[in-house]
Amino acid sequence: MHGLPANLEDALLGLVREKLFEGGAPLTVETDLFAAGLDSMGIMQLMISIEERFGVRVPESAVTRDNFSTASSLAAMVRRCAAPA
Amino acid sequence: MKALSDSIVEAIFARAAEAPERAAFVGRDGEISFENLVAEVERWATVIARLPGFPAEGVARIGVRCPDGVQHTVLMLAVMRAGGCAVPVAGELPADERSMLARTTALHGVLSQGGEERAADGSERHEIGGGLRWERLAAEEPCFPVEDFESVCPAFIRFSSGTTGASKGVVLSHGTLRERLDSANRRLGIGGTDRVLWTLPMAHHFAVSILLYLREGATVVLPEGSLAGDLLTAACQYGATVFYGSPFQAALLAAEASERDWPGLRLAVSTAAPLAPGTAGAFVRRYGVRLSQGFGIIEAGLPLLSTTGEDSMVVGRPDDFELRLEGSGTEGGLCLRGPGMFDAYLSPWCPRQEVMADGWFHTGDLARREADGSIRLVGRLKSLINVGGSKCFPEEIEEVLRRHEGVADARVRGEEHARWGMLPVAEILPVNVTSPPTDGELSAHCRARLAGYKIPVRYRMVNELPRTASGKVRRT
Repeated sequence: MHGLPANLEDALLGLVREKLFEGGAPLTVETDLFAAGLDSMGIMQLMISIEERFGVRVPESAVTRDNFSTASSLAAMVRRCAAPA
Repeated sequence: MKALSDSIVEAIFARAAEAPERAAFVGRDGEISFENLVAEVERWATVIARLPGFPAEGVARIGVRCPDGVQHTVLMLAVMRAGGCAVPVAGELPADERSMLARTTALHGVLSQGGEERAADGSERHEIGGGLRWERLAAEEPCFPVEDFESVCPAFIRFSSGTTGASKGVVLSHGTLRERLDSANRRLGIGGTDRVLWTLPMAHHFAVSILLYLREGATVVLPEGSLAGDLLTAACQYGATVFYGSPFQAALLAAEASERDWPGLRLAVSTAAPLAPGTAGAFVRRYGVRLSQGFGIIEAGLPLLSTTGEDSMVVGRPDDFELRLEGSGTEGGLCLRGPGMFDAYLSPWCPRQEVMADGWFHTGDLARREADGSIRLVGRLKSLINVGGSKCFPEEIEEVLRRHEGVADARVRGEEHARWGMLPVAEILPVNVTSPPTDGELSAHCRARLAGYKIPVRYRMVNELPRTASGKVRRT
């Protein structure tokens, strides 16, 4: 278990920036990622990075609009994935 | 404007004339009939042929950088209708890869929709209406023989390393596209009553997909988004009969939470990468239709399609393609030949006849022939890394890593992964072992130069890299 960073929202925002958006797009933890252009390839890359970085498994059933809409909602999802079942 | 004869666009127009009222597209961008699609293509072809920098002679090489949708399709077809060769510029390419694409294919210009950043360095921008920009590029001397290129009647360049090598750009002619679609549709059996749910990025999938559907008079259903819920909503609302997507999308659909059925579904195809374990079973339990496994490669189209749906490494039995396994046993390098093979690699220029000097295309896959004649993929002979259907070569990632000031040398491998197939991981030989570059620095360096899926997911600092006798980094 990797343990999640305290500032998970910021860590996820960093991942989103690094993986998905070119240049210095003005993103915040509440930016609507779908409106910013998150597509199926982007979702796949986010899942790969999240699983690698935070050592959690994101099930297919968690790939919903609610969970992937912002860095903040992603953080909530990652915490749920990391919680013991 | 040039005559249409033998053009793939002409074939689509001819089909459109049979049922002009039928919808070519429904969904996100509204409904557009075949008649209106033809009119839009003609309108834009006229605009494109008059753009500053569109060559009066020869074949124009025009980039299309446009989000997926009706507009993307219209522009691709309009470039071909205007006598040009269309080159999709994928939205996820960072500036370096875009510039390399523009240089290597010696683009006359790029048609862009959305995005502020330039499609290529040094372009001259013109707003041309409809929210579109024409970015005219300084005509560079192409690094391929233009006469040879034009002699094949090129319609389309897919800018990738193809399946097996370091060449950039796979050239497909109008004749090749027509043959290829005929061949692929012998296996898919798509017709005018079909409605195909669109799920793939158009910059990566266009020939044996959009072009095929339109050529067969089928309707393309564009969902609102790419999540499983969006796909299912569009499928039900518009009566989609065909799913053609990636293993990831098949897995998402199989796990979709609403328990809705997809009553009209008759054909489901997963392509580009092997399915993760369990996906095929989960999909058939949920929707009652078996997932077919397609073996698609840019050089050959869709030469194989397995309809048994049980074992994702079995890609079907050949019908109009001939197959051969290198060596004398039942396992060997997979070679094939058949209708609609690619015309040439662009850079360095190499026509199909030379690539297939022994009469065969060597796919770089290791395969086995099963007792019933079907083909099972068992591995790769070449170094291709397939990340859930997005393909890249380790050499390209290593080359970028070596350009980082803290990196003396690098080796990238595709690490096997149950869900994604493979993920790129890197071993780094640092310049200074006491202060090696951080993962964050290396990722940022790669991000500026490579599409996201090519960025290694992990970096490991090493003191040396295994080498061959000639001093090259060893792959295995």
